[in-house]
Amino acid sequence: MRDGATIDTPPLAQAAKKRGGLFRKYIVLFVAVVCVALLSNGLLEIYFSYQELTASLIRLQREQADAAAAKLAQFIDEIQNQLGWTTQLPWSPGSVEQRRFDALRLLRQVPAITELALLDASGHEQLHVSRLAMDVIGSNLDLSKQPAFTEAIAHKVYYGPVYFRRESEPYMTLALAGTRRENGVAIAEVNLKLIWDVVSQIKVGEHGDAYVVDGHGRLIAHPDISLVLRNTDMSKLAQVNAALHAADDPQIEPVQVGDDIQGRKVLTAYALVAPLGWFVFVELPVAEANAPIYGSIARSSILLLAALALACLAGLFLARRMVGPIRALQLGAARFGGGDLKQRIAVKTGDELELLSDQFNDMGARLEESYADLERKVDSRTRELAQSVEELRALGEVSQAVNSTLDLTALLATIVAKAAQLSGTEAGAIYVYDEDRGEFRLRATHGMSKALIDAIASEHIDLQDTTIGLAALHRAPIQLPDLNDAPRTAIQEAILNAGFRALLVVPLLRPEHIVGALVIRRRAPGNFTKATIDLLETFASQSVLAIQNARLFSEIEEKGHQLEIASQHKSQFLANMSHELRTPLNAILGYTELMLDEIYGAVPERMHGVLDRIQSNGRHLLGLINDVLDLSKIEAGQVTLSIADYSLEDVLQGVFVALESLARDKEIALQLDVPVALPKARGDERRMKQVLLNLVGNAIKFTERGSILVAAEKQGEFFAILVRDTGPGIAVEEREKIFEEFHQADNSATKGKSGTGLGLAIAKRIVELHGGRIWVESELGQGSTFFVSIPVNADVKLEHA
Amino acid sequence: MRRRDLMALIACATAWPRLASAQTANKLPVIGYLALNVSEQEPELIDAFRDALAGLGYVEGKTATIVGRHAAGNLRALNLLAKQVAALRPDVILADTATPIKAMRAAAPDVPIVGALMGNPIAQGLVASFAHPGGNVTGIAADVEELRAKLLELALEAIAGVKAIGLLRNPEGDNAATLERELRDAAAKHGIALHAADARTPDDIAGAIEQLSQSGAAFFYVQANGVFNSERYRIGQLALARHLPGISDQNRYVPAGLLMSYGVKTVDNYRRAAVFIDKILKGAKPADLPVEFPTRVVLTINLKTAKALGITLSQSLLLRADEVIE
Repeated sequence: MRDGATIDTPPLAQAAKKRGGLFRKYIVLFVAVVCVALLSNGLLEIYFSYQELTASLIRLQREQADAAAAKLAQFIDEIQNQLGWTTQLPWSPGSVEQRRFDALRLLRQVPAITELALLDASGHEQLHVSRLAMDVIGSNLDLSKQPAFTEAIAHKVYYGPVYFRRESEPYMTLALAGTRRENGVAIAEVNLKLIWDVVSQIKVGEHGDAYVVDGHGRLIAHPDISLVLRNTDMSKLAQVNAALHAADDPQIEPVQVGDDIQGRKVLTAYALVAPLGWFVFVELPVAEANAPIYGSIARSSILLLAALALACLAGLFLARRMVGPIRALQLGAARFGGGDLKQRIAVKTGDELELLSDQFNDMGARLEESYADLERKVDSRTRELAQSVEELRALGEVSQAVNSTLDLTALLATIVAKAAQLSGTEAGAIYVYDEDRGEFRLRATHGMSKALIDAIASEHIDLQDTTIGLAALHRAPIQLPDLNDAPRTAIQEAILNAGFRALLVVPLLRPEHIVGALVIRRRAPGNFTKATIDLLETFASQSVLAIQNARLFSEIEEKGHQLEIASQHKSQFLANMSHELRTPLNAILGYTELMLDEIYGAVPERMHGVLDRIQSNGRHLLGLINDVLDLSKIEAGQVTLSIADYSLEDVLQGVFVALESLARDKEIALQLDVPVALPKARGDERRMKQVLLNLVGNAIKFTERGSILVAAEKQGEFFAILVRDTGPGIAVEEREKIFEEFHQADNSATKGKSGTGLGLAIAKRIVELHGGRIWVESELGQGSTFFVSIPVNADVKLEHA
Repeated sequence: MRRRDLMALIACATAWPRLASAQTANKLPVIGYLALNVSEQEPELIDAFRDALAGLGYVEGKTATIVGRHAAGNLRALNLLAKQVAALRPDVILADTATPIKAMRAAAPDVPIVGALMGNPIAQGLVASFAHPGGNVTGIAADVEELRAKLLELALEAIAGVKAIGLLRNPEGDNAATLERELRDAAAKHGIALHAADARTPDDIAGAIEQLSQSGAAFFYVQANGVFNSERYRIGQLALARHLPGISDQNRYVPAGLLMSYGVKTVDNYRRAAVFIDKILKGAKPADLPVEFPTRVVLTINLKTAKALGITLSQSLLLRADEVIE
């Protein structure tokens, strides 16, 4: 049995709660997967593109540096070449003017050279031209000890250290020896600020720049000329420092990321200007270099956000697609569980979920079939039950009818009608078998036309050669599924003509006896079911009962009637007999009296005794006859009370006086206890006296010794009178019987006591006629107490009765 | 998260950089100038300055406000004009020579000043040193100590047999005394006398030239000066009329009829001044910006004047000439 709560608690609420969980899980999972994928992809991409970008930027910068270095080298080479023209010829006195032209041409062609000194082979200055200073010819200044001269002579060319004029302008001395010694040496002061042209042309990104330092790390050229003019020492920068020492120690790796002079992080690359020992640095701020990376990061972030949104949407969509069907399945399952088997779960996802839903639907269909089957069965059972109930009710009605009515014809009609109705047939009849005449007689019919009834009633149906008789003889039901197939008899012909095709005969049986037959007829041919047969057998037994009851009742009624008549005859007889007996007895007693009174002469003493005995026995016989007469009168309803006012006390005193001598004879104390102010009673005084005489007389008669108390008092509207003796007592089983006619308590104590046994019976009837009651309380050996309770006013009681 | 919220977030994320950048351009930097050697009629130098500023991203009315006053050589108006420029509340000021620089420094003591044509800034008390000016003023020097001696040497090479030379000067200019001493020293080395003639106003010029002509000067040196600058064509005509060759350290006097000049190219200095302006607007202190000397020193020769005066220029001189006016 399933728990009812599962069905009753709203499954939707539960479902929603659980759906939320699954739903969230799906989305979170989806988003997490997408984010992790994108994030890792983005990070990897950023990392690698950072590496590539840095590498390519460094490469580019190095190329630029190389190009710049080449240009600087070319610049120096150019100067050197130009300078070479001035040392083409050996010195001679006439060549000064020519050399001055050459020098001026040189100044014009090479703006970087501010001053030019030409020395002869001995190191004496022969010519000095300048852009700012005065030209000097033939100063013969001895410069042979100057490094510019000695170095140039030694190495053909001399690059002096960078120096600053006015502490701010970079200059360098460049000395070149002629191809032959006698050609002398040209010493040029080269303004390095012109290198700025070269350096400033190097453009790296937006804020990147290039600069040149000399072999000591001093800044020679920089786009920001003020830095150069400020005579900046760059050697403290890591990349410059590394470059300066790289020549001495090849182990030193070039620094790729360093700080520039303004403290910015820069990507840096350099190239050596070979002949000069200078370095060209090309630097790009990392911030700018990484701008594409930042862009990429921003794009990735936006992409990530977009992907996140997309993932959310996709997750939402997928979760809905996943959870939706699951939820549909869940709801469907819940509805299946709730009993809605007609519904079908519509999940068209084309995957396992659809398979699952199909299986659910199959299950639903199966369940529905089972339920339908079950319902059919339940319906059928219910119908059967209803049928049974109907049958039972019909049987109950029949039973009730059987028990409540003695109208056999009506009863049998009811039975056959119910039988036909419950067996689904159109007609039926009950036959009663007359054993004396040996034939079945039609007693009750249902659904039969008058003609058919007449036709059947006119036929003699005995035990032989009839279907009914056959069934009765075999003491078993017989059915004829189709009368067309059965041998034709007159009755069956009539039945067939009436439109009936099938019939079922159920015999009504009693042990050893045939009671009759219950027949039902159906218009449709075919076999009767076992259930129908069983049912009809029940009806048959009910019919038997009804017929039996009816028979018994009629017998009892007849016997009662006979008994009543006999009783009347007896009472009449007794009354007549008593009367007839009393008449001669009165004559006997009268004559005996006359004889004792010696009317007819003297009577001898012996005869006197006999006469006394005749008279005594005669009187006793008369009493008996009177008693019988009384009783018979009472029985016959001929006694009526003569109601009048009387004194109960007087009655009791009368009884006392009448019987006191008798008690004294037996030495029994007879006591009378009556209250003084006892009200008048209303009733039959003589009859009441008769009752009390009888009771007290009995007491004296059965008591051998002891005492007898007679007491009376008024209790409410009744007089209570008791007579108590100390006699032998009455056994329990005798107590009721003693009030019946011709009965005496049978025990040793009553043996030999004379009496008709009618006294108490008469007393009881008299008391009851007064509307009172008489009863006895007694124990064996303890004496007996007779109680009489009579209404003070018997009139009232009688009226009420 | 609701779909709508997500969309709003994305919209915010994309709009954010624009919002952020929109906040900075509230106030345009104000670049003021006070130019003694420029007149309304000859705005080339200021135009060059503006061009250079535009090249650095300062476009008048769009990214910067560039306003100033031209004194056109009127020294007496300088203080008034300086006050007017200061009233414009400039963030940085361009002034050309020492006189307007000083006037400007007096009118706006806290505003950085870039001098475009400083003669001898240390001597004129504008900067402590070239490398570290140390004050509110920096800029480009137009003048170095030996330049005039060299000019004299070149002039002597062009004109032979010189016994004396003249100097047309304006005593009110800052550098007049320095110039005269330098020139007298250089002339003395060549054994040449120097006659100086003063001209304070344009009206004085003709008399001064007449005076120089009669003093026996073989040629005369025109002091670069706001007054003379405005009157340079008249000076050229007067000199030609007197057969008196004139020389100058500023090349723009040469087309006016002088014989030659040797010195910086003025327009270069104005262009270079824009770089200083830029650096200062970006936060650099003038005290830390070294005074520059122009890279180019240009020898300009007016062959027409030479021809008119019957001067034959030597081959070596022509060889040296950077610009020749024919």
